[in-house]
Amino acid sequence: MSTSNGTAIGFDDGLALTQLYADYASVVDSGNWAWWPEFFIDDCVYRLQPRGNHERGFPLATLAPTSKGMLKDRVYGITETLFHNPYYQRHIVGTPVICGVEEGRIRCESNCAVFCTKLSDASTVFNLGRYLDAVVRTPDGLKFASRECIYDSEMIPNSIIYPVWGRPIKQTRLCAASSRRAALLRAPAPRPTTAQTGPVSPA
Amino acid sequence: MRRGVVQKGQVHGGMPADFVTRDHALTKLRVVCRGGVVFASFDPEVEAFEDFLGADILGYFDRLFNGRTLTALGYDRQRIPGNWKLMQGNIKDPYHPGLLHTWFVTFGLWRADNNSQWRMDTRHRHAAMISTRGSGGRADQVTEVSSFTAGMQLNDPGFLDIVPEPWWGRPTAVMTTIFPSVILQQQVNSVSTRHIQPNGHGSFDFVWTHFGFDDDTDERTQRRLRQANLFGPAGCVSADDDEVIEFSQQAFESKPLHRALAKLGRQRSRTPSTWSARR
Repeated sequence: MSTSNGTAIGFDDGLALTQLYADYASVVDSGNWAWWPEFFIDDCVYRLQPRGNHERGFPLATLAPTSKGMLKDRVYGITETLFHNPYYQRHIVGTPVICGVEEGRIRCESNCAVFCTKLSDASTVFNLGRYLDAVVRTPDGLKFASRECIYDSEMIPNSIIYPVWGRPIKQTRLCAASSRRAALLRAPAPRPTTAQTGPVSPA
Repeated sequence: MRRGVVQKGQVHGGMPADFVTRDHALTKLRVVCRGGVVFASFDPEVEAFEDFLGADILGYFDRLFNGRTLTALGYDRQRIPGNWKLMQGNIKDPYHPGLLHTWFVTFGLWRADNNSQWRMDTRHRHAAMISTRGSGGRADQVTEVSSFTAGMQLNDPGFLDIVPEPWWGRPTAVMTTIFPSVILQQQVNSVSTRHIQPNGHGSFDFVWTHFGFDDDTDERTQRRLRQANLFGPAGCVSADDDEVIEFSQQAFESKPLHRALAKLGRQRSRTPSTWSARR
């Protein structure tokens, strides 16, 4: 498998990378947020940034935890403290374009579309953009050293609760009716299929 | 087209010979620039900006925009499906932060027992909510918030790496609402403006400009950017408000003829506590 700058990566790495992308999308759509930080190394970068800021060189991101610990803090915030309306989200992630391999880092990117469906409403396009990634090999498989989500859809429909595109299924602090809805929405989280690349365990 | 189109020796259309374009120029706005912030009004007779704000609010404006050169850190935009006045009301309401924003409560950024004050201009258009962090008792002794977690600890304290800046004076947070459309935020090290742009009675765009100052060290800029995670369309704190505004609008629209009154104060009332809004 060769990259756009002529660097070759092995078939196994290519397959693992594809699986990493698929697992990530699966987890962020499943609502099992505790697994989300496990896709990253400890000293990681995660940035959710409007395309305008990215292209104009402004440093502000809509969300930018700067370590795996901060990712866990964000998960705690969205599962325990942030008050919001639950709904389904669905990520459609493209096959990664491998841009190069430098010092053990695979630089790659892919398009992503996120749809959102509120109960009793038609599905809508929630956010469109692309991931700019740096992926490294670890004893637990491939992980993100850096994942930047640069989104075209700069006018955010109300708010983005989750540190990925889309909103989670809120499991606490809902009124009784909403709790019942949340229970209906809560799908069993699929265990990532590839042990090599999947998250180790719930944090 | 200014003089029309000539066809078969006849002029069709065009402006009259006495039409003076100079008398029909683009609308000129009355513009004022203070402390690096530009305001404009469509009303040429509008009162002076300083009189519009009043001395108290002007003091808090100048505290933030004291002549330093501003540096933009970037922008965020969101469309909130609620009446625009709900956002003005949100930032004028000192009760909800201690009830809704668990982040604020847990880390003492805003609690009902904080040393706080609330100032308005004489015509009650603008307001400043002024608060000093950590001046009250322990968080678990002063909150009845059901989601409050006494042992809530951050895995990474980076979100709350707060370092006081000399220009703050005593307050650690001042939220200023300038009626009808601007909110000025200083929440510890995060400073921003939020612009309300209504696009109907049931929806408005909310545009955030996060900034810093030209003498900020790189470390201070990074601190502002980290604390910006608490605010904006995905903020650990402010996203609560946006969702509740949507719920409120849904409730108003479901019963357009109903009115509700929120009574706050020492007198206990059986009146259901909710907001009122008229469109």
